[in-house]
Amino acid sequence: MIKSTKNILAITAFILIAGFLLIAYYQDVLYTAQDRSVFFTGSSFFHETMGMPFGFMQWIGGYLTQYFYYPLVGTILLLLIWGVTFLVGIKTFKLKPSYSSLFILPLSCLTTSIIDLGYWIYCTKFSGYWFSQSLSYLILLLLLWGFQNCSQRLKLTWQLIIPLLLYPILGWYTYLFAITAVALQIKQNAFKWNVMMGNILGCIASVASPLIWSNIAYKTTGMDKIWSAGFPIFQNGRDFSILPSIPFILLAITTFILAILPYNWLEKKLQAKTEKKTNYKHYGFTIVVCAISAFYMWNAMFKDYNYIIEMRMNKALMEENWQSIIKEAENASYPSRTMVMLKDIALMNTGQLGERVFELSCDGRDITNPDSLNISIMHIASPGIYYNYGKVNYAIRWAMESGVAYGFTPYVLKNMILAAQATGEKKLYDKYMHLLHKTTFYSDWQPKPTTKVIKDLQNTFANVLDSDNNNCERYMIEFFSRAYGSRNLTIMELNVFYSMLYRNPDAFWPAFLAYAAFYPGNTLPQHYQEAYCLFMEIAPQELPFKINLSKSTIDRYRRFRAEMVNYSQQGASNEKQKELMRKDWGGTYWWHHIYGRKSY
Amino acid sequence: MHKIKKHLHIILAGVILLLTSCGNHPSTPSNCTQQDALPSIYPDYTNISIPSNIAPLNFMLTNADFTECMASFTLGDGNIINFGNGTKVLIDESEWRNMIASSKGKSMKITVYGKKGEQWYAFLPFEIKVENEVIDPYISYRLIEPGYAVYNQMSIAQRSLETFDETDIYNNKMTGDLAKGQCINCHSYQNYKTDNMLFHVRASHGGTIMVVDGKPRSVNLKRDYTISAGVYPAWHPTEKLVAFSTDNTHQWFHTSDPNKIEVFDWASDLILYDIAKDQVDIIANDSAKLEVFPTWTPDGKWLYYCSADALPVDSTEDQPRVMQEHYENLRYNIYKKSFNAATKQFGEEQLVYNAAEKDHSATLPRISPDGKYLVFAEGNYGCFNIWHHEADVRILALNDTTKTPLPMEVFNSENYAESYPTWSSNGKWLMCASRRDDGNFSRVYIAYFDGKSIHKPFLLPQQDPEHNTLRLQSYNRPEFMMEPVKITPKEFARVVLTNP
Repeated sequence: MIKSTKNILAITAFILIAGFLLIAYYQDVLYTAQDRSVFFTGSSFFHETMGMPFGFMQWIGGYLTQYFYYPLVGTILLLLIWGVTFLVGIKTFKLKPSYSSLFILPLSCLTTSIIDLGYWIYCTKFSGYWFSQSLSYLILLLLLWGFQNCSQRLKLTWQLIIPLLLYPILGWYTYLFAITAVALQIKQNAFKWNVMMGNILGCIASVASPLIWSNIAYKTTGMDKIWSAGFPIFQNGRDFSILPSIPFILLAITTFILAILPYNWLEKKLQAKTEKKTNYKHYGFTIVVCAISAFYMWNAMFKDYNYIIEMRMNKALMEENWQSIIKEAENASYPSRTMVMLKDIALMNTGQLGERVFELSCDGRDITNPDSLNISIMHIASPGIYYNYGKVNYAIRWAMESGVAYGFTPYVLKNMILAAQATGEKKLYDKYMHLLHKTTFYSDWQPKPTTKVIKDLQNTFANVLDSDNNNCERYMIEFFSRAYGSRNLTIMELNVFYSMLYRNPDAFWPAFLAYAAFYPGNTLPQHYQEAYCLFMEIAPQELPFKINLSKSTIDRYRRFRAEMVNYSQQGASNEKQKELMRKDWGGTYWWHHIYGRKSY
Repeated sequence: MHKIKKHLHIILAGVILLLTSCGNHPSTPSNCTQQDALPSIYPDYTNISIPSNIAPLNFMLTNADFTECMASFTLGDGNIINFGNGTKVLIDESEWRNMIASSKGKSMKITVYGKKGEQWYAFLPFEIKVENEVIDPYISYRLIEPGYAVYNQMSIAQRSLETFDETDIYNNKMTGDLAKGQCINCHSYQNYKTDNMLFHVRASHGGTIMVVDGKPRSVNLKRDYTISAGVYPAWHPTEKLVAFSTDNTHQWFHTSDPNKIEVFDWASDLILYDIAKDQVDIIANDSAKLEVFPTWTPDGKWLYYCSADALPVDSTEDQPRVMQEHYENLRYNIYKKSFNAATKQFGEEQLVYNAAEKDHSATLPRISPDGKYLVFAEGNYGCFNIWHHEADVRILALNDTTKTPLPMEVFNSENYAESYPTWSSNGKWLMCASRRDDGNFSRVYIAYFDGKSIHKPFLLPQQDPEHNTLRLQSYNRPEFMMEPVKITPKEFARVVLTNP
């Protein structure tokens, strides 16, 4: 009873820790994982995936990844796999309950491989990454378990057959099988010649197998892909990182160590004079292993706040849930550039741009990325941003580029569908809908109708040939700060807002005057009054009509200027002033104009 | 017991086989409602002409309300055979071969039935004429996602037209340089044979991969006196010579035009590559002209090509303005120059087809194997007709002094790009890349040319007709071949890796 309690304690502790990290922190990441993962029902996608080594595991992994549509369901599936893996693992390596907690170590590696991805989630090219590695590891353990229970004569056959036959399914796990089998054999049989022969032949088979298969079934696959089949290598263009691959290297190392470790020695160390003390030692050992695992997972986990909020906002953008986006923006002290742009779209759609856009900060920060991966707003949200600004051709372009680079995921297809709906390309719309409906959880997905704002933005501007130079922020600023001549209030407001971001009086005044003359209310929205005060000071303009300014705006502007002069006279550096002024004035255009982000 | 089990397996397998084969030959529904219309099937194979060696024309009903589909084929010899498999009509390859053999020179009459709920509906019958003329047994094309600036995996593939077999000639995964980027393009053959062929590799391990007398090698065609390395190729039909264009190509994006992207040359010339001497000579390099898309007549005595007035650009900074103001005025005409193979000298430029005077732009010319017809793509402007919705394929009889293209309404689609037309080696079949299926992903369409007029084209058949919907790649540069490429992808990869 006590023995099984120790097993249960170890796996329960692990499941609680891993489950907590996934559900409490990573729900939005898991949802994004399925949104950016390719899977289609039907034989066509199956055959395509099977065309490469490890394809079958990717196919199953891709299928299961869809369940992150409901993050809790996907997490439960993953935890179940890990739970079974634990049980098979302790049987395979014959771990006694007193030290069975050691098997939490490889499981921690698998968990870490999911929570340490960071921004690679937007660039990962492994279909089914989220489940395929855990499932393959489980199959590897089952094969090793079978191997352990074979007669010595059968073991030799096993060592030859597994790599030769199962390489197309398990890829690099057949190498791990070969070396783990060697470790188990050495531990159990020392250096008997027939065992050594089996070990050598097994290793040769694991190396020969990819070569054989590359000439049978994978004739058009490059040798780099043949050798590394299934092993996640993180390369995107010229960006390469070893960091997200480390959990898999550790997984292989811990598996090898678990196979070769002399447990008699460990058992002796965990023995005490009385049974009670021995039990305490066993529990203590379990707690230490769990703590090491938790420490490793927590430290390797990518915990950036904006990373999560960007995902939440992106989901809300697709649902046109403007209030949700605004709520997230309200809680973000230092938003990323993506968050700022998504917030601007939400405010535009709720008519609050002029009142709240600077209150909710336009000072977008670059993403926090400890990795060398070069990633930007273009990878994270550009199709949705372009679409909502009526730049539908650019939305199509960036959704397509994403599809070409990382696969035609639900995220890509949904954006393509919205764009095709907006441009009226019916055949294309039908094609993408047909494809999206070949997934499990988007089988009845329907796009929201194109909004009036998008239609107006789409129809107002004449076609031109240009380029966004892979930077949608700068493109929007340059485009809308020059977008004069419309009689549509939303577009006129965008003209004013972006000319304010552009900080150029020559762009601001014509935009502002047109908007002010057309604005139906008595008093202009707060931020435009602020801009008027500022530009009137730095580039005075003779106005053809009177602008109604609230007295409080004028007073506040005077106080802002006085405080700024005060800090300046005190010798505060620009960076210092920026932070000192942020507390009282961070929500004004004045602060943004002087201290906010200037390069895009 | 063991024996019984063994026999049970055999019996079970037999039953499954029988059931499957019965499922493919359903009986004609006895009680059905007659529809006064042709069936809406995909691909549209109604009333077309096909070669007598084409793969089965599998199709499906497009209306999702139909839960079952059945087609009854009345063959040229009067026999009737039915096919149906769920909502698709999938025809066994060997049965199909017998079907077209017994209908050669005649028509097959096909009646399609669809089941909606419990009711069967019969549609008006249509015909498929099996022409006596065969088609070249292979075609090749580049498979590429229709991206804009980003590209990922791509391959040059060859497809048997008599079966559904498709294999890679080469793909850019072979050398493991996907991360650095490797673009492959412009596969081209001498006289429909593959012992002399080429394709380009750009970016990582870049160079032109040439197969000469069956032996692959890598060639660098860039010279200090040329704009670029060779781009659009044309093998001389008899000599070891290849004409290329050299191009300084750029692309811009339309903010709202349905054409979405504009690809154009700031400069382009024509060169002649002498394989034996590894020598590059200039054919045309007038800086005021953009010469591109060379093609030889079957006798090798004339080189046809396209030419337009270059855009008036003075500096790189001036390019955006010039492009914006003039891109719609960039119009190509078709010209020709005589060629003396002995001296390797070209004659004076002669205008063949003036598209510009009609406010059109003619590109991608090809001469029919009998030398009597010129086929080309024509759009409103520019050289990249494959992205132009209005672009259509035209055929011009070279002896027609009025220079009036043949009627092509039956061949071209309404408002979807048709481009890259090519003749089969017997001149009886015309193939092009068309975006008519969805506006975005180009597909291969083939039509019969009876020597006077073109017939309705049909989509390249696939084992599963839905494959055309699910494949998210475009078919680029479809070319006819009399035989498959014999060099393996691995051999090509070894040659590619010799490039730095």
